[in-house]
Amino acid sequence: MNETQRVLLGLLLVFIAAWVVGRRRAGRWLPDEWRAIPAFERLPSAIQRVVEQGRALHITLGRGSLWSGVAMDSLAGIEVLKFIARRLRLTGQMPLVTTGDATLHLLAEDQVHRLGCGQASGLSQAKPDVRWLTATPPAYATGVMGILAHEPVEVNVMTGFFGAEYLLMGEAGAQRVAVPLGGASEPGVLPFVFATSRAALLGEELYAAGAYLAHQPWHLGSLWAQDVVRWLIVLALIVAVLVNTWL
Amino acid sequence: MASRLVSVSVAMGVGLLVLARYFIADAQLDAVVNQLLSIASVVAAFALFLGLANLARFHLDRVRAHSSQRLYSAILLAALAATVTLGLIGGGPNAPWMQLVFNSVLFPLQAALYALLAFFILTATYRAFRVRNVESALFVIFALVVLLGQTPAGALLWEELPAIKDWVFDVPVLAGTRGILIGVSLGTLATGIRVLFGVDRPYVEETGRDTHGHLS
Repeated sequence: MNETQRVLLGLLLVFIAAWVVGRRRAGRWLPDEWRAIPAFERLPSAIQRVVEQGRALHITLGRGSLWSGVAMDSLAGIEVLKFIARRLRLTGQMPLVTTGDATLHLLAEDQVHRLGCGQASGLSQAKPDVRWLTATPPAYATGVMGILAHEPVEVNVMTGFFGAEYLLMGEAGAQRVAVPLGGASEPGVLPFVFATSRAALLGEELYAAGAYLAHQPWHLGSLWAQDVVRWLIVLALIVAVLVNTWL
Repeated sequence: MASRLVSVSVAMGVGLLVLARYFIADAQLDAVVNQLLSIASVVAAFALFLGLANLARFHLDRVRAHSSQRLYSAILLAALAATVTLGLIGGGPNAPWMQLVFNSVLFPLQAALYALLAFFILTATYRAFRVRNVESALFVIFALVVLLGQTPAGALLWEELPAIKDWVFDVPVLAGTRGILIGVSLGTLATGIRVLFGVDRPYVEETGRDTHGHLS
């Protein structure tokens, strides 16, 4: 095992330990104590707006394949989708879901169908509508832009992995949709997210969906672990700077 | 219940094996992990077929339902059928006919779409330049400094502007990007560990966890 592997293994073990401790502390945390993330705060009212207007909520999950390095961005998007689908199904509606990757499409379709079938009330349930658009970025953007132009979309949510095509879709959403919300983790895409969204999920905020929206204890624990490891990294950086400066 | 247990065990086992390969150098482990990755690539290829089926079904339904968009759907289905046929009888993606389709149709269309980015940037910038709060004020100030610093007119206005632009790139932008990357790495790690330890199980039905489905 080389030095990098040892450091990474140590970081992993510290993170897991902090995660378990954070899970125990999760019950004592109150939502008021958390840092406000405007996109998550706006999402419930955006869903209510969709229900009141009788129009559609479109969520696109990007083009991050589940067996690539950006799979976690896609899974973070799935958490947002689950929250939206759970809320909407209570009123008999389902979101319109689009993806730019086939493996992600299968997962999204599975999630939405399960949630759609779980409706127990007497309301007539809308058919889940999950569409795989294409595998190439420009064509994927064109597909989303077409949906935003031709379908009665009230709220547009974009979370997951995107490249420069985000701007094409985000701008179409900003011009045509009442509530555009977006999130991405790529630093190069973040200015596009900021410029085209009413409220944005920037960087790591994308991964906090399970904690903020569903209040799941293990998710809250992992947020705490992220904070602990972040502070350790900051301390390590400061110590390294001091050592390199004076020793 | 039993199927869920099997799914979670398989997912966790495979995930831990792939992770272990990063830390342990072992030829047998390498062979097992490579085999698992091959299986994953086959599954991903089948996912593409299912995605294609979803696309074709949606557009066929639209044509059958006489939707106002049916002409576009018909063109898409015809193009899909033609491309697949050319690929199958023409000798694969490297065959001359397929290359012609890529080079004469697909790539120019993609280039044309990306050329529109400049106009989209303009409209997005116009909206983003409206000062609503401290964040957007900072956004506008830094954007103007970089914009003017990149152009000869900026140096004519104030000779220090290019140097300030360089400082913006080298110090606040670089520091911010590194901060974002550290946060994203930790978020990725957290999500990965939750999947690896079976806390997040997107591949099985999650019963009894839907406690927040109420309308606020």
